[in-house]
Formats: sequence, C-alpha cells, structure tokens
Amino acid sequence: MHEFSLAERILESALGAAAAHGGLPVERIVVEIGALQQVVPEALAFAFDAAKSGTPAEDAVLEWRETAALIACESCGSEFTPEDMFWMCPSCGAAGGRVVRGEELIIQSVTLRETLLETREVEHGN
Amino acid sequence: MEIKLVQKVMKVNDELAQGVRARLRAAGVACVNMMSAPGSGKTSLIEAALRHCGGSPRIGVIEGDPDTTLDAERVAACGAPVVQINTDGGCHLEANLVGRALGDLDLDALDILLIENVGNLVCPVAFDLGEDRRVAVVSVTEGHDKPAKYPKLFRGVDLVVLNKADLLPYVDFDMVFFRDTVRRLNPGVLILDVSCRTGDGVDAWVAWLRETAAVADKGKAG
Ligand SMILES: Nc1nc2c(ncn2[C@@H]2O[C@H](COP(=O)(O)OP(=O)(O)OP(=O)(O)O)[C@@H](O)[C@H]2O)c(=O)[nH]1
Ligand SMILES: [Mg+2]
Ligand SMILES: [Zn+2]
Repeated sequence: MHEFSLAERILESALGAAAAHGGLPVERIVVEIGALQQVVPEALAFAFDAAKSGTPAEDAVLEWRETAALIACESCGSEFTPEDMFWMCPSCGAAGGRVVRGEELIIQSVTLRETLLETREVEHGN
Repeated sequence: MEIKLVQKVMKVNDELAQGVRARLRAAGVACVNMMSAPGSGKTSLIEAALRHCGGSPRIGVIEGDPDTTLDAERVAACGAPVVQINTDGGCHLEANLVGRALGDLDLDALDILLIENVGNLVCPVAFDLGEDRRVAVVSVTEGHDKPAKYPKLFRGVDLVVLNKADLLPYVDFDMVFFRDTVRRLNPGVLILDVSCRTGDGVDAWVAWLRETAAVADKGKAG
C-alpha cells in the first residue's frame, strides 16, 4: 500500500505551497495519474484523507485525472495505446516498446481558500 | 487561489536516488535492487552468491525488512558487510533509507552492492533506490502466473531469477506460460533458473553479478 507514502508526499507539497502563500487552508489538490502507475486513485484519496487531519489541508479534497498509456514501437516507430499488459504493436506486431505517456504521477495544482485573509482584513478594519 | 504546481510526487525520492547513484558511481560500485514476493529466496540468492563467488566481486548488502535483523545475520554469517534497514512495517524501501545505510558501508572495499527490497511485488517498483539494475525473483511455488499479475515489475527488470527449481517436480508450474509471459512483457530479458538448495544455476547468477560489477567499473574509468 504505497498509496500512503504517496499521500504523504502530496500532502507535504500542498502544505509547502500553502505555507508559501501565508498559510492559507488547502481546498483542493489535483493529481495526474498515469495508467501505467500502479496507483489506485480511490486508495490514494483514502490515504490522503487519513494523512491530512490536523493540518491546514484537513478540509482539502484530492481530485485526480487519469492519463492513458501511449507506447512507441521500437521496431516501426508507430505510437499506440496498449489494449492489455502486453504491448503489442498493432502496426508491425513487435512486442514491448518505449513509454511516451502513462508514467505520470504529478501534482498539477493546489487550490487555497482565501477566506482567512478576508477575515484578517475585516479584523484589521475594526 | 489556484497554484499550478506541476510537481512530480516522486521528486524528493528521485533526487535522493540520484544522490545515491552518484556516490556509488564515484566509488565504482554497481548497485542491484532485488525484488520479489516474501520468501522467494532473495536472501538465499545473496548467500549463494557469497559462498560461490570466491570474493569476486566484492559484495556488500543492504537488507530491507519490515522488522527483525534475521536476514542481515544470515548475510553476516557469510562474511559480507551488511546493513539492515527496518521499515517499521513499511512495504518498500525508499532512497532516503538507502542513502543513510550507505554511511555504514566502506564503499571502497566493494565492487557491487545488493539491495534486498521488502518482499512485495507492487510497491517497491515505484521507488528508485539509485540502482543500476533491477532483478525480479520468482520461486516456482508461487505459480507461473506471477509475471502476468504483476506486469509492471517484470517490464522494468534486467534479470528474472526463477528460484527453487528443485521443487519443479512437486508443483504444476507451466514453464512455457511463464517464459512466454516474461518475454512478451520484457523482450530480451535474461531468465535464469536457479536452485539455491542444489546450487544449480548459481554459477550463472554469480557470472551476471560479475558482469554487472564490471560495467560499473568501466563507468568509473570512463
Ligand atoms: N527448496 C528450496 N527452498 C529454497 C530455495 N531458495 C530458498 N528456499 C527456502 O525458501 C525460504 C525463503 O527463503 P529466503 O531466502 O528467506 O527468501 P526471501 O525472499 O529472502 O524472504 P523475505 O526476505 O522474507 O522476503 C527459506 O526457507 C529458504 O530455505 C530453493 O532454491 N529451493
Ligand atoms: Mg530475505
Ligand atoms: Zn511496430
């Protein structure tokens, strides 16, 4: 269940981004998950929910986008999305290939809630 | 406020792994990451190599287990320098743990470092440890379908060791299915049949380790 270590990494990055912006609470995190990564998005979200409590990201929602695999045939160069675990080139029948897309595991964006700042401004106004 | 981060989740681990790789390269030490299910015979293969290699290559070992120093004790009994990492229940090794363990090894006295990962066919695959080559170990008692069920591991390895070959008469292991699956996942990968019990195939395993060590040495010279 390495989803737990991944969730911790994601949390650290999000908290780092939040800290760099005055410690605003994290509202939303979007991760891109390649189809070739053995990551179960639901398990990642579950692990994230366990990791986030008691942090400025405790109300944050983890969202994900999945990227389909794209393999380049090393014999004929054509690119294809494999139909199963065996990467068989539909053009020439060669096995294997080079990964063009599908290994992504990227934190795309972190959304911070700006209400805290507004509250502070109101307080200053008083 | 949306911040476009676009940061690899593995960024920190990948950077630490590159650090490990650089340290080992500078010392001319090759590094092998051994992965398998629990009990396939990773430690047995390390013991067999140590007993059969006659000191060439000079082997150092990092043992990764959730708990106990049992594997390190087995390796130490063969006379090799060894560091045990306990992951405290963790299902894989990460580069920071390996980096720390390197400090307890005299790299100048080594030609090759064998890292025995935590027994697990899924999680270790995602974590670069700074290795030059990866090995998957499967034992015949696990069944011929393991490469098909865990394709990502088998796609990314440089060697597949089929261990416990002495037990083939007692299990329904379909060798054709196994080899065919491995070849389709990873065309051209070397498959070695080994029995740590009888010693069959251990010569080829030691030869592969020597060749791996020589490649690292060339890297250092060049
Ligand atoms: N019959 C037979 N048994 C073997 C062979 N290799 C290993 N074993 C046995 O298999 C069991 C597990 O071997 P280990 O070397 O401890 O396996 P491992 O992969 O290091 O196990 P973990 O570190 O717990 O994941 C031990 O009881 C070994 O004696 C072999 O070639 N043939
Ligand atoms: Mg072991
Ligand atoms: Zn092709």
